[in-house]
Amino acid sequence: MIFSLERKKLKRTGFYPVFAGCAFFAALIPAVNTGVRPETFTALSGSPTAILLDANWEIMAMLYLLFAVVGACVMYHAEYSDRALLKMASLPISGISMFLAKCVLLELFCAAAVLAGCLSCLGCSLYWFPERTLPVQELLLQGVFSSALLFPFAALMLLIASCCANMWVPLGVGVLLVFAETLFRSGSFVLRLLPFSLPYHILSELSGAQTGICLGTAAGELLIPGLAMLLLTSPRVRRIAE
Amino acid sequence: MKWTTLFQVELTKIRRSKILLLLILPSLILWIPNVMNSSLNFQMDDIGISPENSFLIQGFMGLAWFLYPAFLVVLTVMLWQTERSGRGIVKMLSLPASPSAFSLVKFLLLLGLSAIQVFFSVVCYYGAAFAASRLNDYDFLVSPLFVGRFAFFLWLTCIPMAALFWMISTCIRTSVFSAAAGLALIVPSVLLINTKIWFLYPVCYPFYYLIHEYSKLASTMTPDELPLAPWILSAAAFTVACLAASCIRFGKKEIQ
Repeated sequence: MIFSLERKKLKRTGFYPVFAGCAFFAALIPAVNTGVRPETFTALSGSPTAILLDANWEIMAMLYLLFAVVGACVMYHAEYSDRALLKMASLPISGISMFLAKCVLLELFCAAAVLAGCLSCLGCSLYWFPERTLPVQELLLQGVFSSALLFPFAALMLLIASCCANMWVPLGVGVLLVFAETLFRSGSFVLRLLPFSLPYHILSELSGAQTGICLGTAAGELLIPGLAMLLLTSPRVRRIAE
Repeated sequence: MKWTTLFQVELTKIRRSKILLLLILPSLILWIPNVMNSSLNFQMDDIGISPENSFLIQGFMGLAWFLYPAFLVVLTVMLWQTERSGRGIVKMLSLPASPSAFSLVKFLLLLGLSAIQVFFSVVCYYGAAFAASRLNDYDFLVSPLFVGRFAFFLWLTCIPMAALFWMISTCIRTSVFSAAAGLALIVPSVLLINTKIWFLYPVCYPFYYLIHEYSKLASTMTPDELPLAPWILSAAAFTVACLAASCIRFGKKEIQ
Protein backbone atom coordinates (compact mmCIF):
# COMPACT_ATOMS: atom_id res chain seq x y z
CA MET A 1 0.00 0.00 0.00
CA ILE A 2 2.74 2.41 0.97
CA PHE A 3 4.46 1.96 -2.40
CA SER A 4 1.36 2.72 -4.43
CA LEU A 5 0.77 5.75 -2.19
CA GLU A 6 4.27 7.04 -2.78
CA ARG A 7 4.03 6.37 -6.48
CA LYS A 8 0.78 8.25 -6.66
CA LYS A 9 2.29 11.23 -4.85
CA LEU A 10 5.06 11.44 -7.42
CA LYS A 11 2.64 11.58 -10.32
CA ARG A 12 2.23 15.33 -10.53
CA THR A 13 5.52 16.46 -9.06
CA GLY A 14 7.49 16.24 -12.31
CA PHE A 15 9.56 13.37 -11.00
CA TYR A 16 8.84 11.02 -13.91
CA PRO A 17 9.75 13.47 -16.71
CA VAL A 18 12.94 14.39 -14.81
CA PHE A 19 13.78 10.70 -14.52
CA ALA A 20 13.09 10.11 -18.22
CA GLY A 21 15.11 13.19 -19.17
CA CYS A 22 18.06 12.19 -17.02
CA ALA A 23 18.06 8.56 -18.23
CA PHE A 24 17.84 9.71 -21.83
CA PHE A 25 20.47 12.43 -21.45
CA ALA A 26 22.94 10.12 -19.70
CA ALA A 27 22.35 7.41 -22.30
CA LEU A 28 23.00 9.96 -25.03
CA ILE A 29 26.46 10.82 -23.70
CA PRO A 30 28.41 7.70 -24.87
CA ALA A 31 26.62 7.82 -28.24
CA VAL A 32 27.37 11.51 -28.85
CA ASN A 33 30.90 11.38 -27.46
CA THR A 34 31.81 8.40 -29.63
CA GLY A 35 29.83 9.65 -32.62
CA VAL A 36 31.64 13.01 -32.70
CA ARG A 37 35.14 11.51 -32.78
CA PRO A 38 34.83 7.76 -33.52
CA GLU A 39 38.41 7.34 -34.73
CA THR A 40 39.78 8.39 -31.29
CA PHE A 41 38.04 5.44 -29.66
CA THR A 42 38.06 2.79 -32.40
CA ALA A 43 41.85 3.13 -32.64
CA LEU A 44 42.20 2.00 -29.02
CA SER A 45 42.78 -1.65 -28.26
CA GLY A 46 41.03 -3.55 -25.50
CA SER A 47 37.48 -4.35 -24.63
CA PRO A 48 34.78 -1.91 -25.78
CA THR A 49 33.43 -1.76 -22.22
CA ALA A 50 36.71 -0.46 -20.85
CA ILE A 51 37.04 2.12 -23.66
CA LEU A 52 33.45 3.39 -23.42
CA LEU A 53 33.25 3.44 -19.65
CA ASP A 54 36.63 5.07 -19.31
CA ALA A 55 35.58 7.87 -21.67
CA ASN A 56 32.04 8.44 -20.42
CA TRP A 57 31.33 6.91 -17.03
CA GLU A 58 32.49 9.91 -14.98
CA ILE A 59 29.99 12.21 -16.66
CA MET A 60 27.24 9.60 -16.64
CA ALA A 61 27.75 8.80 -12.95
CA MET A 62 27.64 12.50 -12.15
CA LEU A 63 24.31 12.77 -13.93
CA TYR A 64 22.94 9.81 -11.95
CA LEU A 65 24.08 11.40 -8.71
CA LEU A 66 22.45 14.69 -9.69
CA PHE A 67 19.27 12.80 -10.51
CA ALA A 68 19.35 11.24 -7.04
CA VAL A 69 19.77 14.75 -5.56
CA VAL A 70 16.87 16.23 -7.52
CA GLY A 71 14.71 13.12 -7.01
CA ALA A 72 15.20 13.21 -3.23
CA CYS A 73 14.42 16.95 -3.18
CA VAL A 74 11.19 16.40 -5.12
CA MET A 75 10.07 13.51 -2.95
CA TYR A 76 10.29 15.44 0.30
CA HIS A 77 9.35 18.79 -1.18
CA ALA A 78 5.99 17.23 -2.09
CA GLU A 79 5.61 16.39 1.61
CA TYR A 80 6.53 19.83 2.88
CA SER A 81 4.46 21.88 0.46
CA ASP A 82 0.90 22.43 1.73
CA ARG A 83 1.85 20.65 4.97
CA ALA A 84 1.27 17.22 3.48
CA LEU A 85 3.66 15.75 6.06
CA LEU A 86 1.23 16.61 8.85
CA LYS A 87 -1.60 14.94 6.96
CA MET A 88 0.58 11.88 6.47
CA ALA A 89 1.22 11.81 10.21
CA SER A 90 -2.50 11.37 10.80
CA LEU A 91 -2.52 8.19 8.68
CA PRO A 92 -1.58 4.82 10.15
CA ILE A 93 1.83 4.97 8.42
CA SER A 94 5.06 5.45 10.32
CA GLY A 95 7.66 8.00 9.18
CA ILE A 96 10.30 5.33 8.80
CA SER A 97 8.19 3.14 6.49
CA MET A 98 7.49 6.20 4.35
CA PHE A 99 11.22 6.92 4.23
CA LEU A 100 12.04 3.32 3.32
CA ALA A 101 9.41 3.29 0.57
CA LYS A 102 10.84 6.51 -0.84
CA CYS A 103 14.36 5.02 -0.65
CA VAL A 104 13.34 1.90 -2.56
CA LEU A 105 11.45 3.92 -5.17
CA LEU A 106 14.29 6.36 -5.74
CA GLU A 107 16.79 3.49 -5.93
CA LEU A 108 14.62 1.66 -8.45
CA PHE A 109 14.48 4.71 -10.68
CA CYS A 110 18.21 5.32 -10.29
CA ALA A 111 18.84 1.68 -11.23
CA ALA A 112 16.60 2.02 -14.27
CA ALA A 113 18.52 5.11 -15.38
CA VAL A 114 21.87 3.33 -14.86
CA LEU A 115 20.71 0.28 -16.80
CA ALA A 116 19.53 2.52 -19.65
CA GLY A 117 23.03 4.03 -19.73
CA CYS A 118 24.60 0.58 -19.83
CA LEU A 119 22.29 -0.47 -22.65
CA SER A 120 23.32 2.66 -24.54
CA CYS A 121 26.98 1.63 -24.08
CA LEU A 122 26.03 -1.79 -25.40
CA GLY A 123 24.47 -0.19 -28.47
CA CYS A 124 27.59 1.92 -28.98
CA SER A 125 29.88 -1.10 -28.80
CA LEU A 126 27.64 -2.93 -31.28
CA TYR A 127 27.77 0.00 -33.70
CA TRP A 128 31.37 1.17 -33.40
CA PHE A 129 33.15 -2.05 -32.37
CA PRO A 130 31.29 -4.69 -34.42
CA GLU A 131 34.36 -6.89 -34.86
CA ARG A 132 34.98 -7.24 -31.10
CA THR A 133 33.01 -9.50 -28.75
CA LEU A 134 29.81 -7.89 -27.52
CA PRO A 135 30.31 -7.20 -23.79
CA VAL A 136 26.74 -7.99 -22.70
CA GLN A 137 27.62 -9.61 -19.39
CA GLU A 138 30.29 -7.04 -18.49
CA LEU A 139 27.96 -4.10 -19.05
CA LEU A 140 25.01 -5.65 -17.28
CA LEU A 141 27.20 -6.46 -14.30
CA GLN A 142 28.46 -2.87 -14.32
CA GLY A 143 24.85 -1.68 -14.33
CA VAL A 144 23.86 -3.84 -11.38
CA PHE A 145 27.04 -2.94 -9.50
CA SER A 146 26.62 0.83 -10.02
CA SER A 147 22.93 0.68 -9.13
CA ALA A 148 23.80 -1.01 -5.86
CA LEU A 149 26.49 1.58 -5.15
CA LEU A 150 24.03 4.42 -5.79
CA PHE A 151 21.70 3.21 -3.05
CA PRO A 152 23.58 4.74 -0.05
CA PHE A 153 23.76 8.14 -1.75
CA ALA A 154 20.05 8.07 -2.59
CA ALA A 155 19.23 7.18 1.03
CA LEU A 156 21.57 9.88 2.35
CA MET A 157 20.00 12.50 0.10
CA LEU A 158 16.51 11.48 1.22
CA LEU A 159 17.60 11.81 4.83
CA ILE A 160 18.94 15.32 4.17
CA ALA A 161 15.83 16.28 2.20
CA SER A 162 13.59 14.97 4.99
CA CYS A 163 15.22 17.38 7.44
CA CYS A 164 14.83 20.56 5.36
CA ALA A 165 11.55 22.26 4.57
CA ASN A 166 13.11 24.54 1.95
CA MET A 167 14.05 22.74 -1.22
CA TRP A 168 17.14 24.77 -1.98
CA VAL A 169 18.95 23.56 1.16
CA PRO A 170 19.05 19.83 0.25
CA LEU A 171 19.66 20.83 -3.36
CA GLY A 172 22.66 22.95 -2.33
CA VAL A 173 23.99 20.30 0.02
CA GLY A 174 23.54 17.61 -2.64
CA VAL A 175 25.37 19.68 -5.23
CA LEU A 176 28.16 20.19 -2.70
CA LEU A 177 28.41 16.44 -2.07
CA VAL A 178 28.53 15.74 -5.80
CA PHE A 179 31.28 18.34 -6.08
CA ALA A 180 33.16 16.91 -3.08
CA GLU A 181 33.76 13.76 -5.11
CA THR A 182 35.95 15.68 -7.55
CA LEU A 183 38.21 16.62 -4.65
CA PHE A 184 38.70 13.00 -3.62
CA ARG A 185 38.96 11.57 -7.11
CA SER A 186 42.73 11.47 -7.11
CA GLY A 187 42.85 10.31 -3.48
CA SER A 188 43.30 6.86 -2.00
CA PHE A 189 40.86 3.98 -2.44
CA VAL A 190 39.52 4.47 1.09
CA LEU A 191 38.54 8.06 0.32
CA ARG A 192 36.67 6.87 -2.75
CA LEU A 193 34.40 4.72 -0.59
CA LEU A 194 32.27 7.66 0.53
CA PRO A 195 28.63 7.47 -0.65
CA PHE A 196 29.07 10.20 -3.26
CA SER A 197 32.23 8.56 -4.69
CA LEU A 198 31.07 4.94 -4.83
CA PRO A 199 29.03 5.11 -8.09
CA TYR A 200 32.10 6.30 -10.02
CA HIS A 201 33.85 2.93 -9.64
CA ILE A 202 34.21 0.91 -12.81
CA LEU A 203 33.86 -2.81 -12.13
CA SER A 204 36.56 -3.94 -14.58
CA GLU A 205 39.15 -1.69 -12.92
CA LEU A 206 38.61 -3.20 -9.48
CA SER A 207 40.10 -6.38 -8.08
CA GLY A 208 37.82 -9.01 -6.55
CA ALA A 209 38.62 -7.89 -3.01
CA GLN A 210 38.01 -4.23 -3.88
CA THR A 211 34.61 -5.08 -5.38
CA GLY A 212 33.71 -6.85 -2.15
CA ILE A 213 34.88 -3.87 -0.10
CA CYS A 214 32.80 -1.49 -2.24
CA LEU A 215 29.64 -3.58 -1.86
CA GLY A 216 30.25 -4.11 1.88
CA THR A 217 30.84 -0.39 2.43
CA ALA A 218 27.70 0.44 0.46
CA ALA A 219 25.69 -1.89 2.70
CA GLY A 220 27.23 -0.30 5.80
CA GLU A 221 26.61 3.23 4.51
CA LEU A 222 23.04 2.30 3.79
CA LEU A 223 22.47 1.47 7.42
CA ILE A 224 23.52 4.92 8.64
CA PRO A 225 20.68 6.96 7.03
CA GLY A 226 18.25 4.18 7.95
CA LEU A 227 19.26 4.27 11.61
CA ALA A 228 19.33 8.09 11.62
CA MET A 229 15.81 8.19 10.23
CA LEU A 230 14.65 5.59 12.75
CA LEU A 231 16.02 7.80 15.48
CA LEU A 232 14.55 11.00 14.06
CA THR A 233 11.08 9.52 13.64
CA SER A 234 10.97 7.81 17.03
CA PRO A 235 8.26 9.40 19.20
CA ARG A 236 10.63 10.00 22.11
CA VAL A 237 13.10 12.03 20.03
CA ARG A 238 10.26 13.98 18.40
CA ARG A 239 8.84 14.81 21.81
CA ILE A 240 12.21 16.10 22.99
CA ALA A 241 12.63 18.15 19.79
CA GLU A 242 9.21 19.69 20.15
CA MET B 1 8.43 52.03 -7.06
CA LYS B 2 12.10 52.87 -6.97
CA TRP B 3 14.64 50.23 -7.99
CA THR B 4 16.43 50.55 -4.66
CA THR B 5 13.18 49.88 -2.79
CA LEU B 6 12.51 46.83 -4.94
CA PHE B 7 16.00 45.56 -4.26
CA GLN B 8 15.58 46.11 -0.53
CA VAL B 9 12.32 44.14 -0.61
CA GLU B 10 14.14 41.27 -2.33
CA LEU B 11 16.89 41.36 0.27
CA THR B 12 14.30 41.18 3.06
CA LYS B 13 12.77 38.10 1.44
CA ILE B 14 15.98 36.10 1.54
CA ARG B 15 17.02 37.25 5.02
CA ARG B 16 16.13 33.96 6.68
CA SER B 17 17.00 31.66 3.80
CA LYS B 18 20.40 30.56 5.25
CA ILE B 19 21.71 31.05 1.73
CA LEU B 20 24.90 32.80 2.86
CA LEU B 21 25.82 29.73 4.87
CA LEU B 22 25.25 27.59 1.79
CA LEU B 23 27.44 29.93 -0.25
CA ILE B 24 30.35 29.92 2.18
CA LEU B 25 30.41 26.12 2.65
CA PRO B 26 31.71 25.23 -0.84
CA SER B 27 34.60 27.66 -0.52
CA LEU B 28 35.62 26.10 2.78
CA ILE B 29 35.25 22.53 1.51
CA LEU B 30 37.21 23.36 -1.61
CA TRP B 31 40.26 24.91 -0.03
CA ILE B 32 40.89 22.40 2.78
CA PRO B 33 42.09 19.56 0.46
CA ASN B 34 43.99 22.14 -1.58
CA VAL B 35 45.96 23.17 1.51
CA MET B 36 46.61 19.54 2.41
CA ASN B 37 47.87 18.78 -1.12
CA SER B 38 49.66 22.12 -1.53
CA SER B 39 53.07 20.41 -1.79
CA LEU B 40 51.94 18.98 -5.17
CA ASN B 41 52.18 22.49 -6.61
CA PHE B 42 55.97 22.22 -6.47
CA GLN B 43 55.90 19.42 -9.04
CA MET B 44 54.72 21.60 -11.91
CA ASP B 45 58.13 22.00 -13.60
CA ASP B 46 57.00 20.31 -16.82
CA ILE B 47 54.16 22.82 -17.19
CA GLY B 48 56.26 25.78 -16.14
CA ILE B 49 53.80 27.41 -13.75
CA SER B 50 54.93 28.84 -10.42
CA PRO B 51 53.60 27.03 -7.28
CA GLU B 52 51.60 30.06 -6.09
CA ASN B 53 49.86 30.54 -9.44
CA SER B 54 49.19 26.82 -9.70
CA PHE B 55 47.66 26.84 -6.20
CA LEU B 56 45.37 29.73 -7.14
CA ILE B 57 44.20 28.35 -10.48
CA GLN B 58 43.82 24.73 -9.36
CA GLY B 59 41.66 25.86 -6.48
CA PHE B 60 39.37 27.97 -8.61
CA MET B 61 39.12 25.32 -11.32
CA GLY B 62 36.63 23.17 -9.41
CA LEU B 63 34.57 26.22 -8.62
CA ALA B 64 34.50 27.48 -12.18
CA TRP B 65 33.47 24.28 -13.93
CA PHE B 66 30.90 22.97 -11.50
CA LEU B 67 30.26 24.86 -8.30
CA TYR B 68 29.49 28.35 -9.62
CA PRO B 69 27.07 27.07 -12.28
CA ALA B 70 25.45 24.58 -9.87
CA PHE B 71 25.02 27.22 -7.19
CA LEU B 72 23.48 29.59 -9.69
CA VAL B 73 20.87 26.88 -10.25
CA VAL B 74 20.37 26.51 -6.49
CA LEU B 75 20.02 30.29 -6.18
CA THR B 76 17.38 30.46 -8.89
CA VAL B 77 15.45 27.70 -7.10
CA MET B 78 15.66 29.69 -3.90
CA LEU B 79 14.55 32.95 -5.52
CA TRP B 80 11.52 31.24 -7.06
CA GLN B 81 10.61 29.13 -4.07
CA THR B 82 10.38 32.19 -1.84
CA GLU B 83 7.83 33.59 -4.31
CA ARG B 84 5.83 30.48 -5.03
CA SER B 85 5.43 29.20 -1.50
CA GLY B 86 2.50 31.06 0.07
CA ARG B 87 1.71 32.58 -3.35
CA GLY B 88 4.02 35.48 -2.61
CA ILE B 89 4.29 36.26 -6.31
CA VAL B 90 0.61 37.26 -6.48
CA LYS B 91 1.18 39.74 -3.68
CA MET B 92 4.33 41.02 -5.37
CA LEU B 93 2.59 41.53 -8.70
CA SER B 94 0.01 43.73 -7.02
CA LEU B 95 2.73 46.25 -6.17
CA PRO B 96 2.97 49.36 -8.39
CA ALA B 97 5.83 48.18 -10.61
CA SER B 98 6.03 46.26 -13.88
CA PRO B 99 6.71 42.48 -13.89
CA SER B 100 9.83 43.11 -16.00
CA ALA B 101 11.24 45.30 -13.22
CA PHE B 102 10.68 42.50 -10.70
CA SER B 103 12.38 40.03 -13.01
CA LEU B 104 15.38 42.30 -13.53
CA VAL B 105 15.71 43.06 -9.82
CA LYS B 106 15.66 39.37 -9.03
CA PHE B 107 18.30 38.78 -11.69
CA LEU B 108 20.44 41.52 -10.15
CA LEU B 109 20.06 39.83 -6.79
CA LEU B 110 21.19 36.58 -8.39
CA LEU B 111 24.28 38.34 -9.71
CA GLY B 112 24.85 39.94 -6.31
CA LEU B 113 24.69 36.59 -4.55
CA SER B 114 27.07 35.00 -7.05
CA ALA B 115 29.43 37.95 -6.47
CA ILE B 116 29.24 37.19 -2.75
CA GLN B 117 30.18 33.60 -3.49
CA VAL B 118 33.18 34.73 -5.55
CA PHE B 119 34.13 37.08 -2.72
CA PHE B 120 33.91 34.24 -0.15
CA SER B 121 36.11 32.10 -2.39
CA VAL B 122 38.71 34.87 -2.58
CA VAL B 123 38.67 35.34 1.21
CA CYS B 124 38.98 31.58 1.73
CA TYR B 125 41.75 31.51 -0.88
CA TYR B 126 43.79 33.98 1.18
CA GLY B 127 43.22 31.93 4.34
CA ALA B 128 44.22 28.77 2.48
CA ALA B 129 47.25 30.41 0.83
CA PHE B 130 48.40 31.66 4.23
CA ALA B 131 48.00 28.18 5.75
CA ALA B 132 49.80 26.55 2.78
CA SER B 133 52.64 29.10 3.10
CA ARG B 134 53.12 28.20 6.76
CA LEU B 135 52.90 24.49 5.99
CA ASN B 136 55.46 24.47 3.15
CA ASP B 137 57.64 27.40 4.17
CA TYR B 138 57.01 29.05 0.80
CA ASP B 139 55.07 32.19 -0.02
CA PHE B 140 51.85 31.10 -1.77
CA LEU B 141 50.21 34.53 -1.60
CA VAL B 142 49.54 36.19 -4.95
CA SER B 143 49.08 39.96 -5.19
CA PRO B 144 45.50 41.04 -4.28
CA LEU B 145 45.32 43.11 -7.46
CA PHE B 146 45.87 40.06 -9.64
CA VAL B 147 43.46 37.89 -7.61
CA GLY B 148 40.86 40.67 -7.62
CA ARG B 149 41.06 41.12 -11.38
CA PHE B 150 40.96 37.35 -11.88
CA ALA B 151 37.91 36.94 -9.60
CA PHE B 152 36.14 39.88 -11.24
CA PHE B 153 36.54 38.42 -14.74
CA LEU B 154 35.45 35.02 -13.47
CA TRP B 155 32.27 36.60 -12.12
CA LEU B 156 31.80 38.55 -15.35
CA THR B 157 31.97 35.39 -17.44
CA CYS B 158 29.19 33.92 -15.26
CA ILE B 159 26.65 36.62 -16.24
CA PRO B 160 25.38 35.07 -19.53
CA MET B 161 25.08 31.71 -17.77
CA ALA B 162 23.17 33.33 -14.89
CA ALA B 163 20.81 34.91 -17.44
CA LEU B 164 20.29 31.51 -19.06
CA PHE B 165 19.50 29.81 -15.75
CA TRP B 166 17.23 32.70 -14.75
CA MET B 167 15.33 32.35 -18.00
CA ILE B 168 14.97 28.58 -17.53
CA SER B 169 13.65 28.99 -13.99
CA THR B 170 11.23 31.73 -15.07
CA CYS B 171 9.88 29.90 -18.09
CA ILE B 172 9.61 26.49 -16.42
CA ARG B 173 7.28 26.91 -13.48
CA THR B 174 8.05 23.61 -11.78
CA SER B 175 11.21 24.19 -9.78
CA VAL B 176 12.21 20.57 -10.16
CA PHE B 177 12.32 20.79 -13.93
CA SER B 178 14.23 24.02 -13.98
CA ALA B 179 16.76 22.72 -11.42
CA ALA B 180 17.19 19.42 -13.25
CA ALA B 181 17.52 21.17 -16.62
CA GLY B 182 20.06 23.62 -15.21
CA LEU B 183 22.16 20.89 -13.58
CA ALA B 184 21.98 18.74 -16.69
CA LEU B 185 23.24 21.66 -18.79
CA ILE B 186 26.39 21.95 -16.65
CA VAL B 187 27.64 18.42 -17.13
CA PRO B 188 28.34 18.42 -20.91
CA SER B 189 30.30 21.70 -20.67
CA VAL B 190 33.50 19.64 -20.15
CA LEU B 191 32.95 18.06 -23.54
CA LEU B 192 31.82 21.22 -25.34
CA ILE B 193 34.76 23.27 -24.12
CA ASN B 194 37.05 21.36 -26.49
CA THR B 195 35.00 22.24 -29.54
CA LYS B 196 35.47 25.30 -31.74
CA ILE B 197 32.01 26.68 -31.00
CA TRP B 198 32.36 26.77 -27.21
CA PHE B 199 31.37 30.45 -27.19
CA LEU B 200 27.84 29.48 -28.23
CA TYR B 201 27.38 27.65 -24.91
CA PRO B 202 27.40 30.13 -21.97
CA VAL B 203 27.98 27.43 -19.34
CA CYS B 204 31.50 26.97 -20.75
CA TYR B 205 32.56 30.61 -20.28
CA PRO B 206 34.00 30.63 -16.72
CA PHE B 207 35.88 27.38 -17.22
CA TYR B 208 37.24 28.50 -20.59
CA TYR B 209 38.43 31.78 -19.09
CA LEU B 210 40.18 29.90 -16.30
CA ILE B 211 41.95 27.53 -18.69
CA HIS B 212 43.00 30.52 -20.78
CA GLU B 213 44.49 32.22 -17.69
CA TYR B 214 46.24 28.96 -16.79
CA SER B 215 47.87 28.69 -20.20
CA LYS B 216 48.95 32.35 -19.95
CA LEU B 217 50.68 31.70 -16.63
CA ALA B 218 52.36 28.45 -17.72
CA SER B 219 55.56 29.09 -19.64
CA THR B 220 55.41 25.84 -21.65
CA MET B 221 51.88 26.45 -22.90
CA THR B 222 50.91 28.87 -25.65
CA PRO B 223 47.54 30.40 -24.92
CA ASP B 224 44.98 30.21 -27.69
CA GLU B 225 44.01 33.49 -29.27
CA LEU B 226 40.76 34.46 -27.52
CA PRO B 227 38.03 34.91 -30.15
CA LEU B 228 36.97 38.09 -28.36
CA ALA B 229 34.61 39.51 -31.00
CA PRO B 230 32.42 36.38 -31.45
CA TRP B 231 32.61 35.65 -27.73
CA ILE B 232 31.44 39.09 -26.61
CA LEU B 233 28.81 39.19 -29.33
CA SER B 234 27.33 35.81 -28.50
CA ALA B 235 27.56 36.48 -24.74
CA ALA B 236 25.74 39.80 -25.14
CA ALA B 237 23.15 38.27 -27.46
CA PHE B 238 22.55 35.39 -25.04
CA THR B 239 22.23 37.69 -22.04
CA VAL B 240 19.86 40.10 -23.76
CA ALA B 241 17.73 37.32 -25.28
CA CYS B 242 17.49 35.38 -22.01
CA LEU B 243 16.68 38.51 -19.98
CA ALA B 244 14.07 39.60 -22.52
CA ALA B 245 12.44 36.16 -22.43
CA SER B 246 12.40 36.11 -18.63
CA CYS B 247 10.98 39.66 -18.47
CA ILE B 248 8.18 38.67 -20.85
CA ARG B 249 7.40 35.41 -19.06
CA PHE B 250 7.69 36.71 -15.48
CA GLY B 251 4.40 36.21 -13.63
CA LYS B 252 2.53 35.60 -16.90
CA LYS B 253 0.64 32.64 -15.50
CA GLU B 254 -0.34 34.45 -12.31
CA ILE B 255 -1.50 37.56 -14.20
CA GLN B 256 -3.69 35.40 -16.44
